[in-house]
Amino acid sequence: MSEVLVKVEDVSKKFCKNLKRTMLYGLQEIMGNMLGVMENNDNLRKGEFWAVNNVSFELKRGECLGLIGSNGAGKSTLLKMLNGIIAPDNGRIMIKGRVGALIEVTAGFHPMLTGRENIYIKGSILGLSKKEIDKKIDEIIEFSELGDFIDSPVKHYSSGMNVRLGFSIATQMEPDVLLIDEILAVGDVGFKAKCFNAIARLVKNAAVIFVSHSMPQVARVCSHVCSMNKGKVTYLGADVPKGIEFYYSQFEAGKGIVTGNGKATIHKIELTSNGKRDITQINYLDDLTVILYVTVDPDVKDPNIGIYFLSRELQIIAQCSSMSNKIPIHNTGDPFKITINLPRVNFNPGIYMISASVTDETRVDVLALHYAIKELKVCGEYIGRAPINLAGEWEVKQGGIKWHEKYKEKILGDN
Amino acid sequence: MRMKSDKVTIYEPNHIMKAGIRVWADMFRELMESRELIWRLIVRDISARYKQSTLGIFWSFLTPLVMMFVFVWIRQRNILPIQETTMPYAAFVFLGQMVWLFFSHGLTVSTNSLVGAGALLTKINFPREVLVLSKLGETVFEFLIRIPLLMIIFLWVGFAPKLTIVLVPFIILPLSLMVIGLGFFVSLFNAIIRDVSSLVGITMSIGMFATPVIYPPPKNWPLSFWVNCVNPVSGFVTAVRDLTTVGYLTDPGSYITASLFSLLVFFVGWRFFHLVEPLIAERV
Repeated sequence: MSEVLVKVEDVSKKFCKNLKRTMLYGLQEIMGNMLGVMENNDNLRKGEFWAVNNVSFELKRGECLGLIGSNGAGKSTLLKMLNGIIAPDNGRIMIKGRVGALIEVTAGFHPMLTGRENIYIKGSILGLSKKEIDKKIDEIIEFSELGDFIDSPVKHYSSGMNVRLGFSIATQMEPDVLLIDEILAVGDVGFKAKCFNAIARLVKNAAVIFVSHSMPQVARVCSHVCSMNKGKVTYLGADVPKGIEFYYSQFEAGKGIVTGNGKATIHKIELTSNGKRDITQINYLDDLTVILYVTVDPDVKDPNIGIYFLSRELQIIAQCSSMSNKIPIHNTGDPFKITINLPRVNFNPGIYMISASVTDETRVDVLALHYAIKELKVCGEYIGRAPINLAGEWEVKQGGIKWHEKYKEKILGDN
Repeated sequence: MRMKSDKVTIYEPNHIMKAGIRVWADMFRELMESRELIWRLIVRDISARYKQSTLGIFWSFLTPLVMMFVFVWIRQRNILPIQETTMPYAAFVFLGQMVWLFFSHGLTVSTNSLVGAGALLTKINFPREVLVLSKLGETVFEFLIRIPLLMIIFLWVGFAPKLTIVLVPFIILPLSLMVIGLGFFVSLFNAIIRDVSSLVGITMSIGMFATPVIYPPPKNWPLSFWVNCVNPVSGFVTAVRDLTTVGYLTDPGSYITASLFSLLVFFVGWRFFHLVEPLIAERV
């Protein structure tokens, strides 16, 4: 099960930014192709740029390559070339076996026809024969959980139902090479979990190329990662955390955003740890002290002051505010110095952003907000994928313990 | 059930991949493999089209019928001097319309076949030829359902067609090839420059008058050479009428020329389409 299913050699693709010029080049290429004139594809014509520039990689069955990069890095273009929708301008792509794509799963549905009719049409477009579809249709309908709706026109479907139907068909393809583009952002939680399981099943028997902006998803699914920037590969390899680090390093570390209605000012945010001042990094489980220098307009009697920790995905992973900690703050208008001690910070090693905010007592009016203003690096060995790595106190026993048989059965029965 | 597939697909720059004579074999194989898909798309287009309109199929009768009445009236009032025809004029116009609409409607729908496919074209890999080919299904379907109406008109005007009318498919076949062949060209160009669709529309409106649809082939007009010889659809319109009225082809030369032209257009168009199709997804 380790044959090479995808082989990409020095593949490049250029695009043109100007619409009218695109049409001109299009016509030129058509004429050139018709007459068999070989063009020199190595040079860029006016207004063109390399959307994908000299990309090479190999993928075996059972491997999953995460294709990551900022918007416009060339991920989708590369995926389209792998899918055979557009031809490369240079290089060569070899693909062995049947290709399945979880891209735009609702494309090709006819709104006037029923879900059932659309299954047959979409199935044929994806290359399934009528026999194959006949065999799979019950499974598809069951997976989609559409029930009676399967016989009403697709135009009456909600967008979620549309995706369910599309996804159900696509996952029945059993491909050798599977292309996935940012698809898991849709559907409700229940269906999402189901899709993940379906993909996990497909991944085992296929070479998978997975485009995503969600690094936790990439870390979870992929065995290899290819980080792209402006058409070029910046990292390619099996060290997924390292590839993800390359992806993050493309973005300017936060200048942050400062907003608020002006009734409060955060003059300075200082991080200290173990007696060291103005630090930017700590070790896992070090103590951290955040000092805020704040002035608040005397109108506001009881401000609420808080700090928030954000992951690199800018998701809030932890908070600490005066109100939630039940610390009353009474404002007279004089400057504040607020010290917040956070013992044993248990963030998984990585880079985090800190926000600080001052709100009024209702927490509706934001007086001052410094969003993602400070960076904090937690050093140590990154293990697992959760942002918080709880430092538990463990006790492990084995042998010499008697379980009650009933108790054992009950546990097994619950699962 | 797992379909084991050891098929190796290679994607290379277009000019390397699609050059040479070997490509014809690929094209035929691809076409044969997509028969089922073409059929499915035809059924889809037809059923979707008639599902939402209350008059449904009736619309397919209405266009040629209205045209027929209009021209019968124009002729009776002598607004246009149209010479004697070999069959009653109403039937003459209706039959001419059937052939002309086959051509013009067929070409018009295939013009928009690629553009209308939308996300299908830019996101999913399948032989794009089927989009153009399947559009003919709708046209053939319309032609077929007009036949009973034609028979009713024959009865009404008291005209008995010759038995050779059953040979009409031999005229429609090359005409279909021409529609598809031209469709390959115009659909591609329309995908790049949308003006093409308007251009086709205008050409079709004018084209009807440059084809002996509402009048018999003119003998001594200044434009008669154009109408009778250059316009490839003329040969087919005349041939269909000949088979209905006299039982043989009065002008076999123009039929043969038109048929050969159709074959040429079809194969050149197909080859062209196959060659250029990978450029389209990025230009649409």
